[in-house]
Amino acid sequence: MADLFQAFGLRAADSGKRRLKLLHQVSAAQTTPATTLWMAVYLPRLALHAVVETEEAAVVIETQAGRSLIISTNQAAERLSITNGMMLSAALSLCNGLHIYERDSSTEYRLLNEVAAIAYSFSDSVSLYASDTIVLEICNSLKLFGGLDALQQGLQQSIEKLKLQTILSVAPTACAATWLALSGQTTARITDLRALKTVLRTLPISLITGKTKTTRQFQNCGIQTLGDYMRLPHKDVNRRFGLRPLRVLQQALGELPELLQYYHPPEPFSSEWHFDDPVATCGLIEKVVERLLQGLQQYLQIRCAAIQYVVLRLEHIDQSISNLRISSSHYQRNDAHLKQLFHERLQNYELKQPVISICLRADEIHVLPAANMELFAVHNNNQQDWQQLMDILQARLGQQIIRQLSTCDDPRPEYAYRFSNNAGAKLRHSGWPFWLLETPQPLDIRQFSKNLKPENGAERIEQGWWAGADIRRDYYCTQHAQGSARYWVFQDCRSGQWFLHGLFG
Amino acid sequence: MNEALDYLITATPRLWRGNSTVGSVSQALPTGFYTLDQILPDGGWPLGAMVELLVPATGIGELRLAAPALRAVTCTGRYAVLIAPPYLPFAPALEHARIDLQYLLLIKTKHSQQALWAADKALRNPACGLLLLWVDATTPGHVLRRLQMAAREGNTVLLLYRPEMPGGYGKSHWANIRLRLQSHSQGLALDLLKAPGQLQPQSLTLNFQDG
Repeated sequence: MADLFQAFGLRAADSGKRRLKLLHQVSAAQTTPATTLWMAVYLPRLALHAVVETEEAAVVIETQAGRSLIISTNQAAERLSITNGMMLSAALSLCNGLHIYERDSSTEYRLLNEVAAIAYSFSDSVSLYASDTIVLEICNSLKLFGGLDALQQGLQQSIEKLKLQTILSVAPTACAATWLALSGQTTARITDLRALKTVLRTLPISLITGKTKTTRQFQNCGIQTLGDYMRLPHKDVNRRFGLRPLRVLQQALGELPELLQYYHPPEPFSSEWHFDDPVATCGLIEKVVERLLQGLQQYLQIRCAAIQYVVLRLEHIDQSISNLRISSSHYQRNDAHLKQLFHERLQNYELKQPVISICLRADEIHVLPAANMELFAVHNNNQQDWQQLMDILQARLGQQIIRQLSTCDDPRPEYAYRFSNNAGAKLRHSGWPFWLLETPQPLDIRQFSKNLKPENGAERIEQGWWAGADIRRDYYCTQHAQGSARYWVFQDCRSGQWFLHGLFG
Repeated sequence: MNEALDYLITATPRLWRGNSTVGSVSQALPTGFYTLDQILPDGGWPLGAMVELLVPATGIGELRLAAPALRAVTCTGRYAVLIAPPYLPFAPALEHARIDLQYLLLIKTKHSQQALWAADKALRNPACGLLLLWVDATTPGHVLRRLQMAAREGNTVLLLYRPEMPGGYGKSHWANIRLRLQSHSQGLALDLLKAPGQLQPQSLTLNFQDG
């Protein structure tokens, strides 16, 4: 009984101690939170996504030293037990009808940059960490985006629009976050440096050294995990394997600073798309443009900027280039409106030749000043609605179709108006008609005297000798003999010729 | 009997009468001509409706008829659009009619299809207050129906200028109001052929000399 009690007591004391230790840990975590927090975005099937989208078993290979190794597989291939790092010949023995693609590093890099551009809207510190991983510092963004969950969800959803598969993980250092993502720990979220060490112990050693000879040497020594490595005396390990593994580990644990090259969005904005096959219809181009516009919106959003025009460069199959310019009457950042403008423009556009690639470029970026919002909703959208309508009409019908009138202070009727929207001098003239013939039409005097009868006396206009276009005319308001329309006619005092110049509409 | 009717009419202002439009009170844009406002059901060009103006010839004063409405719309900061006019509207004359040219827009397209498309887009825009559209006699009915719907959606007044056909346009037309314009020595003679709640065609003469 006493033994039992003693054992029980001991156990109770033991658990108490543990609880105390745990409490201590928690309080330590609360008092010293990690000053940086990194999120790693690992794109496991990036190489495959860069070259093909298919449901059938497909792999991407890379030839190294004469051997074709599989570097990326899709789900269908994985179901056939084809894994990364496998020889191509081995994979072919598992599946005969395997689709094989060569790696396209430049497309991968472009996609990775697109992902980085998305991440840049969540954090200002984004880095391309590896060929398929980016990292972003999120500690300072947590409050803005409403916590870790909301941020992670937002980022994931934005990236999934590119149809990329992602694994996200969070750790106090960029290196550790990447390792967690690479080892497939999708729910790994470590915000505390102490907890990090415990988690890292279980990860494989290959994360430090990659698939190299050193890894094999480690494994031959019985070092399988990072925990095994940490347990060894540093001095001896360094002598045998060099300083690098230890440095990397110390960086991952936050004991040494990490050196990262940060991502900066390219300037000016330019986004390209290469078609697999030449495209002869505008519909498909429009679909791609929509996607490029999404990138543009993202780009503008993170800079608080707007554009007034964009240029779509079409490269044709015969190497010739056509440029399509879409402009807006006011600063624009809303991709829905630009989308509509492109829609109207492309509907009427005739492609000279099939297109092999397109490039969307925004050369002039204007930073928008921050505007105050009204406390109470004021319906003041008229002007904006109208500008959008003008853009749509001009995109489809052309610039010259839509005109505004203004008056000029000139007594000659031909020069008394202008096509512009600048309010000029207000010229009001009472006896003049609503309709004007832009060029006066000569009248046959015999017809004229028979059918038209003048209503009033002549209005003599004798002007313009200073400008070279000298006129001397007598204007009459006349009515047609059958009693219908009223015309504005004049007689040129020099030649005696009669002209029709307007109608009283 | 008449006394009883008169009493009923004066004593019950909410009594529905045949010549007023059904349903809620709709708004209208005053035409600027008192006599015309009197015979139009809502006291002006009704908002969200298509008004068809049958014009025998250009130059009889058809734009003069719309000038007060153009002034009212442009001077209150809404836009007025002229689509496919037969000639160039002359700016000094418009200015003389006190129309704010900053809010006046001219659209002259190559094809009538484009003009109709532009009209449809403009009518649906809330910033557009008045639209004047010139169409030819061959414009099919379903297109006009579409324009009427667009006007209703945007709550915009659409004045549709259409050449008068010798045989008429048949019995069915989509316009809410139809007016036949004829030249007159003093101004313009109008026949109100169709209006909501109207039983008999009405005629009047507008005198442009006064205004």
